[in-house]
Amino acid sequence: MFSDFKAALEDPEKVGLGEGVKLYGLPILWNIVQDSFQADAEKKSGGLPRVALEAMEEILARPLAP
Amino acid sequence: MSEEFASKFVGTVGAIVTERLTGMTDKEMKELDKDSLAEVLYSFRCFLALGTEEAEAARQIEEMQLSFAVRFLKTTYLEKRLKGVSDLRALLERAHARAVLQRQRQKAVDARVQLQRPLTHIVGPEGQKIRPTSYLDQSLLRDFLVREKVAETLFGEGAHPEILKRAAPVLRFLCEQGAATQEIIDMVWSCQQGKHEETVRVVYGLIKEVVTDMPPELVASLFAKVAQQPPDDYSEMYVEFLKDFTVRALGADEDAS
Repeated sequence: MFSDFKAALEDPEKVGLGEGVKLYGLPILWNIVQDSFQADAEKKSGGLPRVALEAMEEILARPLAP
Repeated sequence: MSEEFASKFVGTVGAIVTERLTGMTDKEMKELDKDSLAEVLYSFRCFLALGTEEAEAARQIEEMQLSFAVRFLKTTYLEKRLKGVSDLRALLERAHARAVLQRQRQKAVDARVQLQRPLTHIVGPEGQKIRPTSYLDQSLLRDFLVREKVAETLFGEGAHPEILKRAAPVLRFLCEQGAATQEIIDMVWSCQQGKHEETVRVVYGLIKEVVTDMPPELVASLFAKVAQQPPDDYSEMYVEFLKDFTVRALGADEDAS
């Protein structure tokens, strides 16, 4: 587990995830999911966090595939 | 009739027909029937073969096909522009077939293997036979497309979604041939900004198709633009695109390492 998840997404190298690691859209997708936890979440489109979560699942499935 | 006369006759007629075809006005291009040009070029090739070396006849015809494809693409008539992009794609496929067959022939020579039968075509993704170009190779095509600013025509001012839908093979070719530039990638991204949802969808699809063929530095700079989308403008379509972009770009990074 990351002690500082935000920092890990912003700068993977700093938390020892390897040199030149690129995450592309992953941090944005996480922000969308996280924003839905906020108090004004009802303002956001209901489907967006779900789609973002499914997108993260699909992105992470490849490196975690057996 | 002497052979000398016939040969000179063919040469003269060839030059006149070439001049007529290459000198067509925009109005004539507009009125040109979709299939008649192909028929004329086919007949013209047979005619040229009477008094010209096969390779020279092929050079003339293929140069004309390329020139017409780009001229069609540059007209203001959508129907002709669609034909232009379709003809250009066909030539790119044929030049690719040429490169593949050349490699196969070289491999056979290197391995001192006698080919069972001549290599005349490759089979496309839909099972179709793709005949190679005789003269045009990929570097000639690349240089021509760059010189004629074909990317600017496809993705610049007046980019049309129907053209963009068909433009992926051209952009991919430019990437593979090292001719894609930052300016071209910027244009691709710009041609969906502030446009109708359908155009945005088409450009997202185009990028998705080509991102794995783009050089890493262009992928990085394109992503920087993608990431600039203001959160208030996020949509399900954007999130889906972000996922596809990420999956493909990560896959390409992994394949490259």
